[in-house]
Amino acid sequence: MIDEVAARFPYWATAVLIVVGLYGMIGKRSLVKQVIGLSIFQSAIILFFVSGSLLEGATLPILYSVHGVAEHVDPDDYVNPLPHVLMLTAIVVGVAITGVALSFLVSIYREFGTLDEREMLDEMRK
Amino acid sequence: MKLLMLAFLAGLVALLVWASADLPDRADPDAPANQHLSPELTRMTESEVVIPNLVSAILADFRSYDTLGETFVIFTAGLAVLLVLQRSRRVPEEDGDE
Amino acid sequence: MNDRYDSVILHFIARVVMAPLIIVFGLYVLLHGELSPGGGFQAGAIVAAALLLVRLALGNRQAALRIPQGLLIWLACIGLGIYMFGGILPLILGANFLDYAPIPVEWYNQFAGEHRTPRAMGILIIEVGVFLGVVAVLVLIYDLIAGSSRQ
Repeated sequence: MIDEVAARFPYWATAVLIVVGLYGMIGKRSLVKQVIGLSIFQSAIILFFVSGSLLEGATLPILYSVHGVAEHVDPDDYVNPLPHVLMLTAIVVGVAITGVALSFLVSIYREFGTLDEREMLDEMRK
Repeated sequence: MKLLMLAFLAGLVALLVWASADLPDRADPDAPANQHLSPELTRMTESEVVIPNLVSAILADFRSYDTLGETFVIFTAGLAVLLVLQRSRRVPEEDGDE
Repeated sequence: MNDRYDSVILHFIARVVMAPLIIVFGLYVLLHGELSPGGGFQAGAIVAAALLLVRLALGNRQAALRIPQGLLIWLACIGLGIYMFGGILPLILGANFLDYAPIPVEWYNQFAGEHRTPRAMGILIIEVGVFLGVVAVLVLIYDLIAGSSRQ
């Protein structure tokens, strides 16, 4: 039972985080909270990939053999480096997305004087 | 409306948890994602790139086109913020001049 | 930004103690990117965090570590240019785009006393380009958003 939970836990945590982020994006009226939801969604994806890179009995992806500690390299001794690379770039893109979204929010606030969706819609209908 | 949305989100959690039953266990060395490409990249890093950090080797050597696009993306993001905020800053001044 | 927390200790710690330490650590992470965990993206984020720390602690009105906007845009362009240089240099030397094998490293190894391979040299060039781009863009985004919300 506990083994089953330990083997499945990252996926469940990812599911919960994805839904929390989605709730922030579709259930909240404030645009700032929607951006926060987007950020949480993104973190869920990143954590999913990083948890998928784990290997039983492996260590961090720094090769011992080049440092002169071990003779040869065994790929099973290191965690999967490819998800780390992909998520490294995804984090930076996430920061860029957040920055552009915040600049749009500043621009919207100047235009409408509010960041609430419904007040903005009322303002547009006038 | 609120209840409908909460029901939808709860259904989504249930769907994702149900779908995760088909995924490999946590830290499984025999998972397809850990068997297909990554061991090859690790061996090639040792034999050809000869630097200890696997992540740097893959990021800047094997996938350097990807990183080039990445750099363009963040550069474009900086330019986008610059254009959005600077244009909207100039508008009130022009209104004041008229 | 934070006129209510206008304290000499805060300013001193942020500007004199923390920021130089964080910047030096960021440069260490950049230059040891091939030997230990690190690289251009991480070092860029760390150095940008130091610059943003000074901006947050001192407020927007004081001019410490302030970088002009035009210089930031130039830094981002130079970072991209270094990256493209790292790609085009092997092209000139007779290999494919971004294939670092023919980069000459003997002069550097004699100068620094290292045993760096051409591929490690190419990776270092590219990491420096990424580093400059990330620092410049992060600080530029913060400066623009903070500066425009202040008005």
